[in-house]
Amino acid sequence: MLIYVGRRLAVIAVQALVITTVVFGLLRLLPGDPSYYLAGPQASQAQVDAIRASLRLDQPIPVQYAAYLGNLVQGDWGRSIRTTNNVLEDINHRLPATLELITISLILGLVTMVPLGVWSSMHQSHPAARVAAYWGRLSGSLPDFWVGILLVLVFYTALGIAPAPVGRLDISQVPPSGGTGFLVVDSVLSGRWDVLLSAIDHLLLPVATLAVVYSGMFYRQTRRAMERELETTRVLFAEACGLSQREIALRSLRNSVAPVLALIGNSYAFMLGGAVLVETVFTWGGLGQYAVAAVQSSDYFAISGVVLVTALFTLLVYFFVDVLNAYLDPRIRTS
Amino acid sequence: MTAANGLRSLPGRLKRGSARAAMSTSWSDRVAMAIALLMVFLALFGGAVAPHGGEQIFSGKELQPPSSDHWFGTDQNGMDVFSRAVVAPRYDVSIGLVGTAIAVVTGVVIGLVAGYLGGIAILLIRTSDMFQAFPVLILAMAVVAFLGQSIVNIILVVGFINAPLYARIAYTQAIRLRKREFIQSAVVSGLSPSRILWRHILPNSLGPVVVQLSVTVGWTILLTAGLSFVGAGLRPPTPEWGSMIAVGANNMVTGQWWAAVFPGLFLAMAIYSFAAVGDYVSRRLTVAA
Repeated sequence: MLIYVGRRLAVIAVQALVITTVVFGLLRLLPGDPSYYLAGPQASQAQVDAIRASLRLDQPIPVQYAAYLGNLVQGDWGRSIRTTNNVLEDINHRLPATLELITISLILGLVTMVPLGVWSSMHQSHPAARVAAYWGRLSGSLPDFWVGILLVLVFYTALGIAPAPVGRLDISQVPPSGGTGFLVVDSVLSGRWDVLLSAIDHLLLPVATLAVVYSGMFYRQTRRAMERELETTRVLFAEACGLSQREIALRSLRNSVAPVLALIGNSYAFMLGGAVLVETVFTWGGLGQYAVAAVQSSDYFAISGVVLVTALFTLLVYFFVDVLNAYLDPRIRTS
Repeated sequence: MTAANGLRSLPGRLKRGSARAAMSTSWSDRVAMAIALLMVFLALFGGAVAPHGGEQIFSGKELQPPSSDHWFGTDQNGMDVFSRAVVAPRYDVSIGLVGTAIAVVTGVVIGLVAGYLGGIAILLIRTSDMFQAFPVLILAMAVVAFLGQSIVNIILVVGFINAPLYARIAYTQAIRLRKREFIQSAVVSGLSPSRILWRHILPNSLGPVVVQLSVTVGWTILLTAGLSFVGAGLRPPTPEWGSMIAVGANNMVTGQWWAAVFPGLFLAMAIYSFAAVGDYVSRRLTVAA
């Protein structure tokens, strides 16, 4: 197991290096000189040159790349034009908001859809399974930003039971300082029950949006994995031996864990980059909204920082999924 | 026994049953195909069908609710929402189709060359595999913003972003085919590599590519609309679903829902129909194979 983890860590290190290279390459490939953006429209040529020299843009590409890597490792991810902070600091502030949103959405989606998928695979001709299958195909086609707007329309504008789609808390409330950055967790830890309620209140609609859009995928994948399992001769044999349906389902479940784990990993990683539009609808103030603002103001380092952090996070998620799979399935460890 | 315990586990029976289900064309398949065709039709002739111009402004008639004059109402700029929603496929669906074509051509060429000839193209495959880890939407936003928000740039970006998928599919196919006897006998008979690639490998690797096509069209439309929604794609007054939803969203909280709801409905219908057609094609091809 340890050998497997070690090997996997080595792979991840190489991949991370490739990712930094790609991000660096993209920065260089994009037209336009960042020193002009950073200097602003009124800067003189001398100022632009000074910035270019300070960014080492006047030096050969390999030197630039080495300097870029060195800065990354030391935590200097460049300065954001818009916020004037170190990009890494900005990201640190905003990442928890996005993670809280997507984590809760993911859990909600899985808790509802995995059992439904398993159940449908065992009752394929049941009307409810047919409806669910239809939902499985439909939900992924719904544009998440549009679903978010619809939910706001119904639950805020029409019914008035949801809070306005601005931010994670009521304006009057001060979030508990420090901690994990997850408002739900921090408020419990500091005993601020009013904050907890408000946080949950604000989470409801964006979480529902993401759950609606991703639930179809969760459902389809679980059901497909389980159906494939139930078609095996192993199950046929179990049936012939007279095992109960319940027993067979429980035993098949374990074999369907690998695809479902892969699904969780993929969707978690995908949602981090994909929650951008939902964050925009709900003015969530997370990483996605930061990315949008960065793009709109040509905020060079902020964009590359977000892309980099998302890609690295994805690698990390894949790593955990692989390790978990290896833990569950000895065949992976030894191959 | 299958009926008794509800588990459809008898392999023979299941295969026959599911094959029949897969080959049949259900009414929902027909509806999806009809909508997809309608969307392509609107992309070509939407301008002729729309009752008003897609960018025509009715001044003094801003934010009118749906009526017989303006079936879907008007938006905050006084433009007819129905006409705009009908003209929008000219941008959304066209970008989806052309973007997909670019993705397929570049992806398949890279994948086949890498799979059959190897060499430097393999490096391209490995790199494009890494792209899976990148946040597609943010990347697309950034590249379009830096290149300039023109239609051509949007098409190129959404096209190239989907190319790795096809490169991976074609690569796997080419590697599999390379070992087959008919390819090896082609090599022995002295056919040039380019001829083998073009006449023998390419036609035989297109199956899995075709299965993905329609899904990619839908996903590309969604990507385009998402870009425009955050202002990083097409901008008003260009009739495009994503930017129409963004404009309509401004008036949502005050109860003028029509300017955002209707374009979203068209967008969802377009994405769903292309995804469902892809689903149908893949079911048919998997059974036939």
